[in-house]
Amino acid sequence: MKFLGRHKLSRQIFIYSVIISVLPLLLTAAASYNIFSRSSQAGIRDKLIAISDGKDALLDELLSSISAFIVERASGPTPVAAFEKLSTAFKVSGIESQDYKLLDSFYKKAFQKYLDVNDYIYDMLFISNEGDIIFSLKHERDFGANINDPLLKGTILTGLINSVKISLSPAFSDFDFYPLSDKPALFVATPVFGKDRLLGEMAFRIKPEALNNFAQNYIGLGKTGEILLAKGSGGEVIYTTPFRFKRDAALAHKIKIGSSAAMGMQRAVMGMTGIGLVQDYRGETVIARWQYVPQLRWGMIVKEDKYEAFGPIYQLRNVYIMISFLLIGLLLWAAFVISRRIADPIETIHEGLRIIGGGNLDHKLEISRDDEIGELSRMFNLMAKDLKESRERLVWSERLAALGKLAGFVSHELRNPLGVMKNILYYFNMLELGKDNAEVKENLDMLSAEIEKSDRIIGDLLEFSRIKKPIFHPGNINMIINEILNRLTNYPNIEVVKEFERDMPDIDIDALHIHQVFYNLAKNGMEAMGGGGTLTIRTALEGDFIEVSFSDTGIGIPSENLGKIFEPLFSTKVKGTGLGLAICNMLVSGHGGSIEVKSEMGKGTTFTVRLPVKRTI
Amino acid sequence: MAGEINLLIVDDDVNQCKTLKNILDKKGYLTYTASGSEETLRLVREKAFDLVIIDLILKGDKNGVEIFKEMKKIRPGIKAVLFTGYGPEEETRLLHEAIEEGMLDDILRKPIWPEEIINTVEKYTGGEKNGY
Repeated sequence: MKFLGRHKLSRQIFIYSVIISVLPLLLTAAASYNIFSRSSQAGIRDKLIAISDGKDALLDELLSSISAFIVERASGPTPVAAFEKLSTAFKVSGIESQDYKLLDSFYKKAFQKYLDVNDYIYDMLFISNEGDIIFSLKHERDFGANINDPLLKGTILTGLINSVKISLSPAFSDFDFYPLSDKPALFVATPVFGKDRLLGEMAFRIKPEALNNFAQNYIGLGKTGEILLAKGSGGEVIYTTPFRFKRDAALAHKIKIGSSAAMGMQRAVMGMTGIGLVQDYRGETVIARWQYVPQLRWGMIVKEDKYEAFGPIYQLRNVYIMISFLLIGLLLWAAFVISRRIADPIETIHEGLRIIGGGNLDHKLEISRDDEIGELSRMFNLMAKDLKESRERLVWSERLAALGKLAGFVSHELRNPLGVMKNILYYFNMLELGKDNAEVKENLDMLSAEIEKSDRIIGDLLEFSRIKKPIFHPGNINMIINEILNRLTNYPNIEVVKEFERDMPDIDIDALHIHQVFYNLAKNGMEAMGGGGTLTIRTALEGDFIEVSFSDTGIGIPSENLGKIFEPLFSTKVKGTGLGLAICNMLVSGHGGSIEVKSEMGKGTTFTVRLPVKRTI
Repeated sequence: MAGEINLLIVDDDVNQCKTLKNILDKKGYLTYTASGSEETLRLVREKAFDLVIIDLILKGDKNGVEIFKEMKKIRPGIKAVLFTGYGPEEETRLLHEAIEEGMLDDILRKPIWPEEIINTVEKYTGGEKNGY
């Protein structure tokens, strides 16, 4: 993969973008999740505490009202009278006697209304000081028995009555199986007093539903919510209310104290109060509030399964995780795009620099953008172009310098032999060798012509090798052209047309150099029109440049030669050395100007020299 | 021959000397040639020359100005003209030195046309002696 492997810049931009965007996102998400989670948990705890405290208050009220009810009834005239009469009838005649039955039937009717008033009362008993159950509304198996009989001994009723006898105050029994009805039972009992003595005890058998209904009211709790009561007995926790989803659990489900299950309830039955995450009787993790119920010496627990209680938190967490993943994906994508967008062009430019540094100045950056990077790449391309041009100029001038050296050397070395040849020819002429022999004379003339030609070539070469830096003085281009035209008078069949700029400013030039350039160009133009023609010389001020063009109506230059025409030693003329235009080009370049050529075969050629008005070199 | 004009041409190029001698002799001068400094100084000791034409650079030998200085020791007032090509800066310096030492300032530039050398000789020797 290219984008993270090799390119440091895009990798850095990518990593930093990710850090500055993803980290705050994650921190914010984590922080807000944390706040929500804490407040939700606190809310759940508060709810459990509120329900638990409420239930405790209700239970207290229920038990207190039952307790108050029995105390109030036990001191009323009817029960006291009934107790005395029934006690006597039981003792004297027995429960099968007519006397007792009459009384029994009478008081059944009278006391039935207690049951009507209080739903939770199942049965009502009178227990005499001798321990005989002398009255019962329901006439179940305990009726007529003695609490110390083997049948009743050890039951919760016996325990309760013995306790009340001593304390002489109302009390509740334990909640347990009552063997005589084969059901769980709870009794409340209070002493009954006659005019001056204790008559016995009055007891209500409370329906288990009284507790169950209270416990099974799950208002405020979720689907897994439970309110349970349990007692501690014999090293065990014994549940006294049915489970929400297991009706027959009351007194049936037991947990050993010290085991890992139902820790909350274990603490509650030991008198502790608290809240927290614990395992319940099923081994399920729940959030639970446990507390002790002193009236019954029981524990109470209000709980909800953790997954339900914390459901909204988990839901929110999942939503946060989902959104975070989505956003992170989006941010990664954005960071990738940004890093590529910034780094790509820089890499392109870097690559471009490498290529150009390697020498390929024709390389162009292909970045078409409207921003600063686009501008940068345009400037880069421009720079490369300038570099290429200046390098070409440098190569050109180096070549010219080398050629100049060579030309200087060659011409220097050829001068002496050429001089000797001239001397010999001169001497032959002194001797008038060709005077009487036309053939000899012709050959001597040819020799002379060839020597002249060689001499001219050497002259050109020398001139080329001696080109020096220009020395600038203000000069007028129009005037220089007039001067050279005065010298070029050997071409009678050429018409010269001058189209001069009227307001030609003086500019900084080396007059000798410019003179030589214009002389060469004018002479070339004239020589190109052997059979006559028109040479138009036009000068014009074009912006920052003065343009001077020489247009002839000569034979023209083939297009394949146009590109080479300014190269040294390139010539199409029989007599040419191929240095004239090269020298012109060099001299014009030395002025910071340029020279160009346009030609059409058979129509003519135009050389245009551009010289800067303000000196740049 | 009484009134004859003696010329000395000094050049390491023997053919140059020889062909110039041909022309100048034909013009009526008595022309001597030398291709080295020792030969030159020997000739100068032997003979009084009206004009010495001396190449500035003699390959592997003293240059023309140095030879001129030694000639002056032998014959103060001797007239000499240099001929040379366009050379490097070194030559320009030597040319200045030559003028300061009293050499003729008509320096002949190579390639020399025979007419030029004849004109120069005529100029400093008072015209041709032996008509051609």
